[in-house]
Amino acid sequence: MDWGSLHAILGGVNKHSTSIGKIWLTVLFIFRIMILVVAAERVWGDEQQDFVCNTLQPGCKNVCYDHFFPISHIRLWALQLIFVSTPALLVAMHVAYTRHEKKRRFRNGEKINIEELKNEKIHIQGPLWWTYTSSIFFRIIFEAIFMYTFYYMYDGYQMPRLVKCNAWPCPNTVDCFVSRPTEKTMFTIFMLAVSGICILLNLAELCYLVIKVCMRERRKST
Amino acid sequence: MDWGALQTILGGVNKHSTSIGKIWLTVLFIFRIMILVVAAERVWGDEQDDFICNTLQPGCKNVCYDHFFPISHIRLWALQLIFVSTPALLVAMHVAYRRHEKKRQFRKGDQKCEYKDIEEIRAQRFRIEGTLWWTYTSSIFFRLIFEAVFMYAFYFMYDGFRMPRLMKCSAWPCPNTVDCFVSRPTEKTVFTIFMIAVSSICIMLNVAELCYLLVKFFLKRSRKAGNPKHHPNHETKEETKQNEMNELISDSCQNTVTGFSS
Repeated sequence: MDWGSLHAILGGVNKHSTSIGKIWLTVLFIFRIMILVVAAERVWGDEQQDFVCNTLQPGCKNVCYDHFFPISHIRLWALQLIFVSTPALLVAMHVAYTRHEKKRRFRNGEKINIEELKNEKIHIQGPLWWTYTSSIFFRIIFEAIFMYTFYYMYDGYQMPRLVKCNAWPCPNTVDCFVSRPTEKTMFTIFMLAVSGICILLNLAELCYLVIKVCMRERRKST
Repeated sequence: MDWGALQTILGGVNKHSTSIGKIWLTVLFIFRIMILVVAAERVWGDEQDDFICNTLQPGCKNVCYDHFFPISHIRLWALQLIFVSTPALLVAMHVAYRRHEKKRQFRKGDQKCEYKDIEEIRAQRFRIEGTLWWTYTSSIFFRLIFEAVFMYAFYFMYDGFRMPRLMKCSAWPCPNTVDCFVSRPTEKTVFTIFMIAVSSICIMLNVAELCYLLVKFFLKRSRKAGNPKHHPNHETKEETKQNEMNELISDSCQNTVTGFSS
């Protein structure tokens, strides 16, 4: 179970998404997950190994690293990507449930073509509209929560070159140097920018769905 | 989600590309992505581990490494390859949109739709005309822009394409000036020059493809201007034959009328 399996699972949801939803999914996989796997994981790969403190005191480096990096950026991004992808499964479950109901009606003797049922694209209307809209809403909430968590945990989005540590057993105050701070700052800003773009896409999709429903109601009333 | 998945995604675009586009895609995958994965990543693998500074001062090596390598070559190349591959997805989205429209027409039972079944729509190869031409041309244009931007970023960040053997560092906490030695500088220079050369070849292929599309467009236009009755965009084989028949009939009618009046 890895990013490839997630890609397979979410690929199925793609069929029932709006165009903006499809663009969002592409941005998620190519500019976030792929960048994480092929580039960011290498940059953070040696983060504890090359975290160097100016002391010979055993245990000081471990304690300082743990104090300044309670949870690594890479793990936070992985969690963010999983949480942000998961609401789409609500939609997949709803679609599967609708299909199951139709198959049940077919078995009970109603005339429906079962092959056509499998390939049918279900339109985003009625209860599916509510499921789809809530999934987008949850996506936006999760993105915002993780972006705020990043900001809160690391006091901004810049990776400092030097951190001053005085946790026990470090003697007095010790200078500790972070590995590759500039490269890490660049990737943090890149991932933040792409999160921002994903939030905008989600908002646009939400507006599009709401406008579509309002127009349909207007057509029905006239 | 890795380079293999990108290849799967872009493989689909290949079907609707020109021949030059197909060559470009092959060069991208074999001479750039594959070289990056099987060779370049190993060369740069120990870049920080074997970056050695002539000092015992803790933290000096980290700071000097960070100062001279703000972003590693490998990461820059990975970003370049991702950004350069992505405009092709615009074309894929446009083709998918067109297919979706044709399927919708087919399902509505439109008489104008010339396809016999949905499988034919799926398998059809769209020609690069009309709005697809514009999408395709913009995607090539964006590719060129991204390639140029990244090549310039490389040149600017590393003061050229050569990897120096020795760097003199005086950032805090290094005492005074410290000599730092880069790991495998010659091998890195060789690979940097190789990747730059292949980027340039890709730029030339993109420029050639752009010229080819423009020339094709102008030729088609001049053919249309020279023969105003001919509308190639919406014709099928049957319509072409019908048009020819009509022209023959109208010509023979003309001759009959002229013959009659004179």
